Amino acid sequence: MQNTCESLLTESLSEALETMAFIMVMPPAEEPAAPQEAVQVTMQFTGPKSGTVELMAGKDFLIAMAANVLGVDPGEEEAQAKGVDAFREILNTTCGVLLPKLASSPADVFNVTLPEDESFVGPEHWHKFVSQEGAVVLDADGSPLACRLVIR
Amino acid sequence: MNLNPLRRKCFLKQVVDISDAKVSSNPEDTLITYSLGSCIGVSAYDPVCKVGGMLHYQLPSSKQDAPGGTVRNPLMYADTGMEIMLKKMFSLGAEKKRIKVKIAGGAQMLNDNDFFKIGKRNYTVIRQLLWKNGMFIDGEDVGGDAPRTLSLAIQDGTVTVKSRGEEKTL
Amino acid sequence: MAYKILVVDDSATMRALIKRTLTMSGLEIERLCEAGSGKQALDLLTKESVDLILADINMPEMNGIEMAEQVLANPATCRIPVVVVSTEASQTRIQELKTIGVKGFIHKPFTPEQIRDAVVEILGACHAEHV
Repeated sequence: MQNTCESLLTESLSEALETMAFIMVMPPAEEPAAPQEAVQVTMQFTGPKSGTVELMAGKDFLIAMAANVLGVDPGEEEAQAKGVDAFREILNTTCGVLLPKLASSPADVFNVTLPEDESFVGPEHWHKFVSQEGAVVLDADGSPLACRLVIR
Repeated sequence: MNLNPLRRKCFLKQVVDISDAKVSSNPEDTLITYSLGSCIGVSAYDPVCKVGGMLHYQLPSSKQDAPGGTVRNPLMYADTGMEIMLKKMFSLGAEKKRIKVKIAGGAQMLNDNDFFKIGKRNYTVIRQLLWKNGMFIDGEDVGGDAPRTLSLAIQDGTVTVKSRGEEKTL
Repeated sequence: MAYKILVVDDSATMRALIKRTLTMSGLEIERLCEAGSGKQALDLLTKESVDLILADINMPEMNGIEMAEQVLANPATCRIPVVVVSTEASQTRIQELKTIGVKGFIHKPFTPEQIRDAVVEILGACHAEHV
């Protein structure tokens, strides 16, 4: 069950990132270095199944991702300002792809919270996040990205 | 005027090789590229001045090949290849806002060890390049595992994809 | 005809992405307005008339379903086509949206081409209806 959850989450995150941000994810060739400044975004869902989806990545990745979504260069002020917002939206979109895969029927209704974000300085939060059960570490076009699905 | 029918016929089909691009404003030309597997064929056409271009690139980014250095064959890559093709089209009178882009290829070939998902990466990068440059994809036939042939008729901009004996217009 | 379009989404990134797509689309745009919630959109509609609303569902203050219900029940705004741009995938919810009169549904993640095609189709159809 845990493996199924992990692969469903990874597939959903891949679809969201590829379609909206032109970023491809794959398993990392080796354990990536922890980002110094990381952001965690979290969303909860209730319905036929209830739980939480979490993502964590470094600030540099968030800015590069926002630049891709917006069609601008990462150095532009707009990309710098919208990194966290873009990450929240990628989480929201990931949940939108994931929840129908958890449903037993296309008619199933899920309620979701708004995505919440929290910033951390220092590598210890990254290590704590990725050491949790169900956490998956990915290589997102050269940057580390972690995700986790918890079903209650 | 060229009245030699044999010579005239030679002009009809302009073959775009692998890692190659061609541009034409001759209404008698058809640009065609074969053997699109994980590669992407890009057809670009300005319907007002009837200028067309075709690129057949193999890999997403020249930066991986030559970070900060000289790129040996810029037409091998999506980023440098598109830049060259579009500049040639602009020099013949094409305008970016009028250009219709259609693409084919990006397959995952069964005989490839496709750990890096080259076909998918090639597709993702052309979408990104076009989005950043304010252009849309107006037709596509991508993915799957079959090789494709892409052609563009300069006379009217008709784009055709042939794959496993079946032909369709994009 | 130049169009006025309202984009409603709590994500500033999504609003910017959709506005960029509309600017690139070739449609003649008179004005692109934006709102961060259903409530802000309703406030804006008391001052501005628009030709199309593109709205998310999951937003603070007032969600997109409540907003669409109020827009489509109000005689002053009921002729404005509402297109929902959302992650919502439940057939039950999509049917609810159709019942209240939502004209279109674009599922996130979307490509810029999907937004352009849906907007061109809906504005084209509405323009034809009013000619």
